Amino acid sequence: MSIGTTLSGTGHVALVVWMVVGWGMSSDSPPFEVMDVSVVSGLEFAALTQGVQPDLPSSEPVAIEIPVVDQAPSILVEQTPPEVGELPRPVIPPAAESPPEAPDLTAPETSVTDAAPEIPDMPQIINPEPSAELGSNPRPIPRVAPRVAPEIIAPPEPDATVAPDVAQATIEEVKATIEKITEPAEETTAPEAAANQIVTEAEEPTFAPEISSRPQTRPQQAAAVVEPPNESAVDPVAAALAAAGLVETPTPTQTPTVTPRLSDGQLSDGDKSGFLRQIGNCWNVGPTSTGALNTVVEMSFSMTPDGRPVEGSFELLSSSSGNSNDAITAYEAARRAIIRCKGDAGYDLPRDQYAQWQNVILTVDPTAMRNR
Amino acid sequence: MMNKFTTLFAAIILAFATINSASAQEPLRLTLRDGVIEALPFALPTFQAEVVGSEDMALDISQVIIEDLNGTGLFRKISSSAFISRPASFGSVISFPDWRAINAQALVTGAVAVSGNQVTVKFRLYDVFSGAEMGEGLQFAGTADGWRRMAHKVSDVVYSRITGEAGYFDSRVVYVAETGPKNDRAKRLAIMDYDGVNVQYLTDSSAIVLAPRFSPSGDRILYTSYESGFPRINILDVATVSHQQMPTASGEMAFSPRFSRDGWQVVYSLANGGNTDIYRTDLVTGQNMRLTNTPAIETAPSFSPNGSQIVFESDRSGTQQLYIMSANGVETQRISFGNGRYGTPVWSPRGDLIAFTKQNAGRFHIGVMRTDGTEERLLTSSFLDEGPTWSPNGRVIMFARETQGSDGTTGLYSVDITGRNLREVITPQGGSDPSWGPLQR
Repeated sequence: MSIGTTLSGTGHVALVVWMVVGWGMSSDSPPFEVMDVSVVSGLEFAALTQGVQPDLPSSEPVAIEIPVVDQAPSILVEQTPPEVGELPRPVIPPAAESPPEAPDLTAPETSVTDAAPEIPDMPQIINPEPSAELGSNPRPIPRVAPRVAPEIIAPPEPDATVAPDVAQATIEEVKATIEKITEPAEETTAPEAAANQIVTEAEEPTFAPEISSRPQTRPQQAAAVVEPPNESAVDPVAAALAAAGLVETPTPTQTPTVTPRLSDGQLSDGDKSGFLRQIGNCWNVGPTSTGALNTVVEMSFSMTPDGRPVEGSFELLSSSSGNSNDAITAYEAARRAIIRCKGDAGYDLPRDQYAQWQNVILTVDPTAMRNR
Repeated sequence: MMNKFTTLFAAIILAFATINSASAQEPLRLTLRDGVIEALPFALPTFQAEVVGSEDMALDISQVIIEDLNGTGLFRKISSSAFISRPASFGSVISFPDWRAINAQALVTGAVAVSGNQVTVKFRLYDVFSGAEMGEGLQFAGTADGWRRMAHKVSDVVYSRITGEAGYFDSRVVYVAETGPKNDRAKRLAIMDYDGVNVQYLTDSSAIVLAPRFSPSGDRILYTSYESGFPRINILDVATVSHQQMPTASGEMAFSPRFSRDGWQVVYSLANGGNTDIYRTDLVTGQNMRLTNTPAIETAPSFSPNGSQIVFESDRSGTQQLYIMSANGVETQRISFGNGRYGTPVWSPRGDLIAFTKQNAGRFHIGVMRTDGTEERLLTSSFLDEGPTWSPNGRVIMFARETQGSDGTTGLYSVDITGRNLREVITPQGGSDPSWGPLQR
C-alpha cells in the first residue's frame, strides 16, 4: 500500500472512531437566551397607537349590598315613658326620680323632605314688569302748549325708538336690582379660588397687599426661548373651551412650547428651581387628606431625552408617615402633577445635560402648604 | 499578535467603563415644597340607564353625587357642555385624551338599573392623566327608597379614593329645629341627612330641647329636655323614636351630655346649689362618678376618641377656658391661653384636634387647636357662631350661626378644617345645636 492510502485509511478510521466515541462525550450546547413574546392583538395595537386604553375585559364590579335604609318612624304617636328594659341596650337602671309624665305629643310634620326654606316676601318694587313700557315710552311726555297755530298739529314723532336689545338690557338691570335687594345680608359661602394660601373667614385681612412680598424663586434665565404663537399649533378644542369660559385653569396642553434648550455646563440652580416650579404649578394639595398633608414622601422617576417623565418609572421610595394610605395619597398627588405639567414639549430642561436629569429623586414635602 | 490582542481587550474594558460611568450618573435630587391649593376638576357624565325606565333615577343619582363632591370644596365639577365625548356604555373604552383636553383630572362613569323596587348602581373612577382606573369598579344594590343613600355611598368611595381619607356623605345629623321669633322660639329635635335633606322630627315643640348628641353607633341620641320644668337628660332610641330619662346623680339640673366613644358611658354637667360640676354615669351599672369638684362652673365635657381623657370648659381661672383631664377626673391641665373666652370643646374623631367656640372682641368664632392647645386657628367669624360638631372623618365642622337683631335667624353652617368652603346647610326651618352622627352601615 502506498503511504497515501495508509494515511487516508488511518484518517478515516480516526474520524469514524471520533464520531462514535467523541460525539457522546461532547459538552452541552452553549446556553441561549429565551425571551417570552406576547402577542398584541390588533385592537390593542390600534389602541396603543391612538393613545387610549384597549377595551380589555375588565373585572366585574364588586357587588356590595346596601341594606334597606333605616328610616326613623316619622311620627311620634305615643310618648308614654317606656320601661327601662325597652331600650335594647344597654340596660339602664331606673331613674332616681320618677320621670315626668310625657305630654301627649301631636304628630310632627312628616312631609318635609326636600322642601326649600320659605323665601321671604320680596320687597315691593315699583314697576316690576317694565318690559311693556320701556320699549314704548322712554321719554317724558311734553306738556300741552297753548295753541298758537291755526290748526292742530300732531305731536312730532319720537326721535328714535329703543331697540329691543337695549330694552332687554334694561329689564335685566331691573331684575338684577330685584335680586340684589332680595339677597341675604350675609354671605353664606366663602369665595373659592385657586391659591397657595388659605385665608379663613376669621383671618380675612383688612388691607390686602397688592404686591407679594415673597422673593422670586427663580432667577432670570436667558436660555429659554418661547416660540411665537403658531396658529397651526393652537389646540382648537382648548381654544373653543377658553373662548366659552369653560376652562378656568390652564391645561397642560396650554403650556407654551419651548425649544429644546442647550446649556454650557452643569445643571444650574435656575434649571432645578424652574423644573420644580413647573411641577409645583400642577401639584394640588387641596384634595388631599390632612394625613397626607403631614406626610413627606420620596419618589423616583425617569425622564426621556425630550423632557417627558416615563410614566411606568414612578416609584415610591420612602415616606415619613406610618400610614400607608397617607403615603400613597401624597405620592399619587405628586405623580399626577409630574405627568400633568410636562406640557406638549416636555419640561424645560437643558437637553444636552440629559444625563444629569435622566433619573430624578424627588422629595415631596407638603408640610409647609399645610400651614398656609 | 499578542500586543494587538492586549490592545483590543483594553479598549473593550475602557468602553465598558465609560458606559458604566455614564449610566451610573447620580440621579437629580430635588425637594418640592410649593404647590397650589385648588379644587380638583372632575367629570361625571350622567350615569347610564341600563334598564328602560331607569333614566330619571340615573339622573337623580348622578346629580346627588355631583352635589356631594362639589359641596366639599375639594372638587369642582366640569360642566357637561364641555364634554368632548361620553362613554357609549358603562364598559366602553375611555378616551382619555378627550377628558385631558378639558382638564378633567378625575372621571366617574356609572350605570343605574331599576327593577321594581330594587335599584343597583355601579361605577368606575379613573385618574385621567395617568390613564388608569383608581381601584376597582363597585356596585351597590338597595331599595328605591334608599337611592339617595346609594348615591352618597358612591360619593364616599370616590372621595376616599382621591383624598385618601374616609368620606362623610352617608351620614345623618341631629339638631334642634327652631321656629318663631327669638323671644318665643319653638324647639324640637330633628334628624336629617348630612346635606339637609330628608328632615324628620323626633319630638314636638311642647318642651324646650337642647344639645342633642348622637351615640357613636348612631342608634341613640342624648338630649336635654325641659319637659319637667328643669333640665333633664333623655335618651332617645332612633329606631323606635321612644325616649326615657337617663338616670343621673341627684341634682337640680342635668345638662350638656355626651356619650363616650364606646357608647356605654355618659359625661354631663350637674348643677347643685349654684355650683356646676362634671359627672360620669355608666349606663350598664348605673354608677355615677363626680369628676370635678370646684366652685367654678364646669361644663361641656367631651371624651377623647380612646376614652382616656375628657376636654371641658371651666371658669375656674376667672374666665371661660378649656381644660383636659383624665377620664377619672385627675391630672387636669388648662390648654387654652389666648385672649377671649373658650367654650363647647369637641374632640375630633381622629384625636388630633379640638374644635371650640371662642368669643373675643365682640365676635364669635369657631376654631380648632391641637390637644395641647397649640396651633390655635379660627375658622369663622360672625355675630354668633357656636356649637361645633365633627364630621365622621374629622375633616368638616358643622356649627350654628345666628344673625344679629330681633328678627335674626339661626341656621346651620359647615366649614372645612382648613377654613375653606364655608357654606350654609339649608334646612326647612332654623337650626341649632347640630350633632353629626357616624357613617351609616
